[in-house]
Amino acid sequence: MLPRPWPNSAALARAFRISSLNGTGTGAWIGERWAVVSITVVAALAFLASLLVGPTGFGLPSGGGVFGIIFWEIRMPRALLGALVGAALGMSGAALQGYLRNPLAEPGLLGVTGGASLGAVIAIHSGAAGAFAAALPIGGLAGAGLAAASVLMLAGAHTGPLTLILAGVAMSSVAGALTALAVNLSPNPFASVEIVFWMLGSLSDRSLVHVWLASPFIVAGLLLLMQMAKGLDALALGEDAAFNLGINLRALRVIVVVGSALAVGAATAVAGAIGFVGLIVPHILRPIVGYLPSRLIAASGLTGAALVLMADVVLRLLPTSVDIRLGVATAIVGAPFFLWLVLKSRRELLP
Amino acid sequence: MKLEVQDIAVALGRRQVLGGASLKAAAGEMIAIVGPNGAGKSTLLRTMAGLLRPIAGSVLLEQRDLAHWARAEMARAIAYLPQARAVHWPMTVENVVALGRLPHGSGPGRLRGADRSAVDSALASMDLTELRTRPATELSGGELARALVARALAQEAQVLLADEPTAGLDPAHQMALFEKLRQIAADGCTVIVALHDLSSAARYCDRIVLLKNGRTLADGPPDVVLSSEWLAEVYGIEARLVRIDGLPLVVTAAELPCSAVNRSRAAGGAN
Repeated sequence: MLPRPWPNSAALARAFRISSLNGTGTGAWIGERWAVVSITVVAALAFLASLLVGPTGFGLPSGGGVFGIIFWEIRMPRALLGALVGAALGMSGAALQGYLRNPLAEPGLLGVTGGASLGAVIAIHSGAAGAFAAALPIGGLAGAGLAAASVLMLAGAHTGPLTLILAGVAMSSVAGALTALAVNLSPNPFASVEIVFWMLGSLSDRSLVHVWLASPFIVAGLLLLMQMAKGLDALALGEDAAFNLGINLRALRVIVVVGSALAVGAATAVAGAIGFVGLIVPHILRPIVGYLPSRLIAASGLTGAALVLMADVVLRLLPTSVDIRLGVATAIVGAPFFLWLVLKSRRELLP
Repeated sequence: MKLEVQDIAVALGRRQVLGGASLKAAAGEMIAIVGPNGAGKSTLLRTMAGLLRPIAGSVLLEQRDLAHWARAEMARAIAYLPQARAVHWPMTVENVVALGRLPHGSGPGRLRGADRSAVDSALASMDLTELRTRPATELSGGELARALVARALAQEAQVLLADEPTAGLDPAHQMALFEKLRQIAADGCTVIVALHDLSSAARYCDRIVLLKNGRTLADGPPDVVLSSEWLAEVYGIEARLVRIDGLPLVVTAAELPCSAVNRSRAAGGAN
């Protein structure tokens, strides 16, 4: 079992909280530096586990041969994609929750996930994906880009967070409707099964081509989001106060949307729709690193990566006859967490 | 710093809120903006803070149009305390106050030297030292108001614009806040506050600006501006500025038939 960085009982957490108040006043339950170090270690271990575990056995390949091919052509792309996809989902979840000042926000809210799915589905439907493998992620990237641009234009450049949510919901609906139409019109049952399975999200059978296609966009998106930390902190005091603190609200909005769209769009294009990671990761972290949005950004990226990698490793080890998809697994674990979140916030809202 | 509002008009959407508003504030002055609800006090403050662009006239800070100030420079020159009091995440009081150091390249968790002392002194002046590790979402209304004032103080700007900073504060903390504002004005800052409490305005401010329907009607020392005539004209009340032990007090006696409240009552009764 991997070491858990967070105290798993409330009493322990309170003890940490008291002992950490040595003038830093971070409000975090354990020291921020230690939290970041532990999260990094967990993410690194999850990456290593992803490289070491597979149906062909446990361990690093010795020498070349089949093992070398398996390591470099199958396990390495899978681990790299898991880390990139998880980081994209976790970090954009934290950035969007901070920007919208809403703990229930998640990357899918922007309509980018829906757009990427639609693009990929069109690539499958049209037969382009069958003709050459890169057509599928390229279709996804194009869909994500179009969706993000439409959402930004629909919401306008200088309005509040509500219009952004509305535009994202509208975009998701349009993309969902068109995806359903594509499944409905699919030329044969195999195509519709392929579409449905692709949409469930997975990291299996991805090659280094997928890594090369997605990584520039994901890395660019993550770098953009990391620049926004200060602005998200200031926004906690409302838009007028943030403006007064020197934050350029228009730039903040565009960069948060574009950064999330690049990262999540590219992630969805190569791995399908993987839900709940972006929603739950910031919630897991808040008690550990504190409630400042800026502290959550990098930590959420690392934790998202660790979560997706660990989920993928567990799925590989499950002795099921049919491959359980990553998106299904995150949903099965994530949905009860979401329910718990609803119950918790209901308790907090009650007098 | 010198802040000058020259005959501005400001519109929110299609509705013109300010028209013919002028104001001059010099360094070391403490000025109150008073007027009935909807007179445009908040809009005037937001325009002076650079949040709204006037459709006519201009706002000059140190003889330079506010539109020509770089955002970072403006954030160091002007601290603005909005009327709406919100902290969206349960961050600690100290972190809320530390946000005031963002324009100086510092912020929560990164306080060093001058930044730390600015935050500490802002916390102390608002009597928040004991509450510094408390999540801001668990504060009472008055405590939250003080934390947000402390954020604006920690910014250490030469101009402080505060929209009803004392609303919800108990009398002791109201007095402490006014004394603090007087002190920073004495140190050479320009302090402009929107207020409803006319007695406090008279007691603590050098000048009072009367605002009604988006126009500045009067501007001068409290004894001149808070005359019975002006109070009747602006608020529609019968009121008088008296002194008790040398301290000014505005005593309200009655609503006049011409008051906005009475007029709408009469209109409602006629229906």
